[in-house]
Amino acid sequence: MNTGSLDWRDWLVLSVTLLFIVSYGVYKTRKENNGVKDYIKGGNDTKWWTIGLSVMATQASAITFLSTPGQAFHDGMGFVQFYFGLPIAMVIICLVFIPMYYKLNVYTAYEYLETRFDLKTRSLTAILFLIQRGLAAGITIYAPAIILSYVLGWDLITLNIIIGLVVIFYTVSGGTKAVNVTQKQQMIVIFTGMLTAFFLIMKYMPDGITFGKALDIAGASDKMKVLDFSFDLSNRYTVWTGFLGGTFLMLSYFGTDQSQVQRYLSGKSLRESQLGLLFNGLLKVPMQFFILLTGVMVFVFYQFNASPLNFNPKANEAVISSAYYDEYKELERKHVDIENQKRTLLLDGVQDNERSLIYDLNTKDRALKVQAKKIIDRVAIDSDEKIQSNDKDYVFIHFILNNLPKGIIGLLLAVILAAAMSSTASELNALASTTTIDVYKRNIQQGRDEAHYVKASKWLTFGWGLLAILIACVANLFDNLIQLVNIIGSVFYGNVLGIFLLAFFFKKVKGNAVFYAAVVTQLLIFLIYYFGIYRLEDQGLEPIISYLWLNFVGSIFVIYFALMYTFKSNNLKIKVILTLTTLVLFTVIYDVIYTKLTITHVLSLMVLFILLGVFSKERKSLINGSND
Amino acid sequence: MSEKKQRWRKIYTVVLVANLVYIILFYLITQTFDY
Repeated sequence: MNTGSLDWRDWLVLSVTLLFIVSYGVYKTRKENNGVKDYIKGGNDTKWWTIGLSVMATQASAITFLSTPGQAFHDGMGFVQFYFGLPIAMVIICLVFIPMYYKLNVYTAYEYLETRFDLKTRSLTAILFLIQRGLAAGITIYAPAIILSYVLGWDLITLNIIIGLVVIFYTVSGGTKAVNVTQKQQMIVIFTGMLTAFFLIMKYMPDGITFGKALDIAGASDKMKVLDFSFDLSNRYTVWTGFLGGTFLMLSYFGTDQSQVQRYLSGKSLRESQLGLLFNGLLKVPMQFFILLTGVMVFVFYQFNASPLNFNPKANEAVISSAYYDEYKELERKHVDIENQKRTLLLDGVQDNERSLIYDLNTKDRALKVQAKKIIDRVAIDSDEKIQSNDKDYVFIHFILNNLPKGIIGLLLAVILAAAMSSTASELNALASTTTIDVYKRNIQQGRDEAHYVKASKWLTFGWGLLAILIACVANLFDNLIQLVNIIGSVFYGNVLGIFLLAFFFKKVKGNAVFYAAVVTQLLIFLIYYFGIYRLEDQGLEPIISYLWLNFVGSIFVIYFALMYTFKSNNLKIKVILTLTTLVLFTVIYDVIYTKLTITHVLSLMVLFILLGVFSKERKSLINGSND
Repeated sequence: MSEKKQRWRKIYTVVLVANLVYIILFYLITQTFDY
């Protein structure tokens, strides 16, 4: 592994690229930001393509480019299904969310909730966002920094501080507009870097291995399964989880998370904002497919070139100095033997009579890798060190550092750092805006002049940036912090989405109903997580539900409780549907505990809630006055 | 709040149909190489 210092050409490309992006952002926004509208909504003059690229850059963090190719390397193309719900969510947001935000001329998504419900619901939702996103911002810096520090030998703390300070510098200085214009450049660097890497991988294939033959090799190695139609929802990536879970997740992320909402609220007009999101809806799925395909091509590349048994350099170092070295060495010997056999077989492509042999060799190799991971886990326990045995984050960076030419390595590192910076910038920008508008301006200091709030927003961007750096620096001290932050996201997101769905689609539901429903839901979700997931996993048992489904559960619960509160004394038809919903909900809970969540559960719940939405709209006479 | 109903635009259909075409294409391409 190339753990030494980078070549001067790489340093040159890396520093020039990043310096250009930052300077461009600061230069383009040097004369603006006279008022809150300029600073928080970028002066409302952003064009659709900038919004589209900005939305994509916000979602694509460094981990997207480090981890996704590694995911495809190990598990094939199935992960693309996770994004199938995204275009549907984009259309719903364009039809429902954006027009409402524009109509009320809001600065943050949560501001809308006060107009629709009340101040306490707005403040509660804003606080849920601040907790979740505040922690996530630190991880957005830490996750790529830890990987780069392992593979390049860079100091983790220094890297955290540099990434954080650079982002703070241009985000404080130029606000939303600086975030948007830098993200446009960052996406250009990302596209250029990924396309270059893909073409170089193809160029490095042995003579006679064309793109078609490479795909054939990937297919024979079980890497080309894109669609999985199985109905088992515990299987994380299927067509159904993509369309159902994916739509929910993307709706909550793009429709209610201020780090995304702020991107499209900076649009020149309603139409520009909508087009920006649709641009994302049009490009995201093929982009993810392309990133995964790059990972699959890295897999094919390593069918002809030596690869380590585990790509995490820290894991290999730890095993070498452990009591398990001989056992590990034996696994490595077998792995090299399999690699040699596959190389000989595949040099002329895949012949029909060789398919079962290739399949067997891959199965044996996978088993060796599983054994290697077990050894690494044992070494980690014995040495009381944190060593990641899952090496998917290290596959692509290993390929980059060991195979790409000087200068291009710098470009790919720029891709990773640009992605880290773009996501962090949106997060800091959104955290500061929400704190300024929803907390400070609304609850603490009303009636001050524009300059005061711009100044407050700048200081808050700086403060959230420092907190993110601090979290990134201490993240290494905690076990599984990255996963914890993802879990925190799922624990809060569903509730927040449910509140917004109630706001948009259940016209008769009022503030008190939503607020109390949200509080009860949050408590229940904490309990489900603690007793149904955390405690069971801690005892080595299967959780009753994957934490990713907490999004869906949270949304359903908050809508259900709010409807129960609202329609508690109304007519027969709505009571029948509510009773049916309650029965189905209990059946689902029972089934989830004793068997598994299935597609039928999800669909029946969705149909019942749609019926409730329809009835609550049509039967205006159902409600006598306000339920608030 | 009395909001104006948002019209369905052709571009929404374009985005959804385009994604459906992507999925079918991905499926066909990968199916050719999946054994």
